Amino acid sequence: MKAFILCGGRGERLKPLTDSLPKPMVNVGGKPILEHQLELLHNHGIRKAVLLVGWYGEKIEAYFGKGEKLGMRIEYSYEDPNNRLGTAGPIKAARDKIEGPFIVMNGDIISNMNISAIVAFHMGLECWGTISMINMPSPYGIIDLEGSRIMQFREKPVLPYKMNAGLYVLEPDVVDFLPDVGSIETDVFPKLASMEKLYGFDSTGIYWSDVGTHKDLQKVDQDILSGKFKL
Amino acid sequence: MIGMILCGGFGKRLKPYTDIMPTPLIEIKDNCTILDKQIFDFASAGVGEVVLLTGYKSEMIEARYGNEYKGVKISYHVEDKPLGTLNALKAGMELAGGEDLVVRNGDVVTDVNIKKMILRHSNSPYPVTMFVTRMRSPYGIVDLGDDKVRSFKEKPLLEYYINGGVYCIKPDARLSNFEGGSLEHTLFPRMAEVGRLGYYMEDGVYWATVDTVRDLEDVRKEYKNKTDKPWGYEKVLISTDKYLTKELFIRSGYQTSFHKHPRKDETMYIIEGVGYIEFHDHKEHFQKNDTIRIEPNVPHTIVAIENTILHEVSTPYLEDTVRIKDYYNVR
Repeated sequence: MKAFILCGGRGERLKPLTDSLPKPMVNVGGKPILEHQLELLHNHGIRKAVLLVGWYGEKIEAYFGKGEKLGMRIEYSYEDPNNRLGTAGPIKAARDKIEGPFIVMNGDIISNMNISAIVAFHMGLECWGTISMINMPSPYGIIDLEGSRIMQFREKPVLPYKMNAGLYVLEPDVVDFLPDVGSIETDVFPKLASMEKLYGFDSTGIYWSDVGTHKDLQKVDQDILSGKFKL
Repeated sequence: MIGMILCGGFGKRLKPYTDIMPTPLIEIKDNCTILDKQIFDFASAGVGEVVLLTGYKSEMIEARYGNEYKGVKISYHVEDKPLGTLNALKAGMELAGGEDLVVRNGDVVTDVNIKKMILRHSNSPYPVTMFVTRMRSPYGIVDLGDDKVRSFKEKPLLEYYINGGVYCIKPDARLSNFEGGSLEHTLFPRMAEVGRLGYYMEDGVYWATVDTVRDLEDVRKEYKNKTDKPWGYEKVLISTDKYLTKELFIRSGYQTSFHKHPRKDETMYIIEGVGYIEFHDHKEHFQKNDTIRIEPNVPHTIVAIENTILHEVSTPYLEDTVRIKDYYNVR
């Protein structure tokens, strides 16, 4: 199976780190975010990756090359950083590289998702796509009320709502639903859901963090140092 | 009741804006800073005296607001080095000389009904009252039926409450018994533990923190067509040379001025809320989904009993108001 990784984002909230570096190349725990992701794929037996690059994409290609170092086969598909295609467009633009069911990953997530289990789950179903989901980590402290008073504060707990964890297994049929420019989350998935062709796999309990801001970056760095996250 | 605003922070995540100004002076729309809006909120709630707890670039704040702003008396407590919000508040409390306080975080932009919150606080047995509001999910939520994805909800309101950043404090809260840095980590959790922390709940009103540049962009988007009024706000939804549509939000217990429009012929469509429109000699009550037409030259005021949102569809005269009576000191 091939994995398509969305690596084209500008990384606005990680400036100035991303002024001349794509976000997936930002260093966390001693190596680029993307390298953690490729290692995760490799651990689950996925040896082929297509990197959907844009902003300073050549730096990604210069670092990973054809993937020999990681024991993988890596291809590249470039988008024009001045004409961004969203999260759906780059996949469509690379459609000739799709060979069968495939994985899509956001390029800014550090996790130890059980990809083998997600793939196995997907293969057992008659559907076009499976989204890996986790329970939502609240960015705010939560207040527990009792009668007319506040009973306690819970510091940023995990809430019982499912959110998209940024990894999908899709069937080649989905490509026909992809717009040239647009978002897979808001333009494509709701359509598949309304056709009852989309499933969710519960990954709650894994280590998961998106690396969108400096604060996230600091946190993940610490988690790797302390051993809270390892592959 | 004395108002107090915590505005001493560095605003690190709002760089580069905060390189040259403190967070409270950042504009949410042309010529309207975060602090303008916050002091205006106090004035609209009938709070006539405000202490600004400043620190970082205090001189810029003092230069803008001086001793009085929009009829509100302004004074300052300047911290030379940051000792945390609890210490700032303690110092402010001394300045307040035994009066009740209504305190706000300097980075929250909200339409909460401060007048109603104060009322709730004065009738409450607790020394501290916190404004709590339902949390809006920062993420999209997946709605499942068995394993199948049924639908997606884009950033919905959740059944969980968060700290809204406005607090009422009675003098007998005895702040001197508490030590530490921020209110959120010392005073509030301890007060809750011993059962002395009350709350004022209001849902569905605009609430945002301006903590990051992205937050600021969101708030500026909200304020693109929005003008605050002492009774709520007005948003121009559509303005063409043929017709005009506005959204009005009137806080519970508030009313618009008693006014008339020489040319404008308008129809109010009530989106949400309960209240009445008062004319010279009669009242017309409204609730959700009602429509009320007001013909030109008929004096009227819209009174909200509960928070009311209405759409006003009219002929296209944006500036066509003759005020007969104002109910608030600020405009």
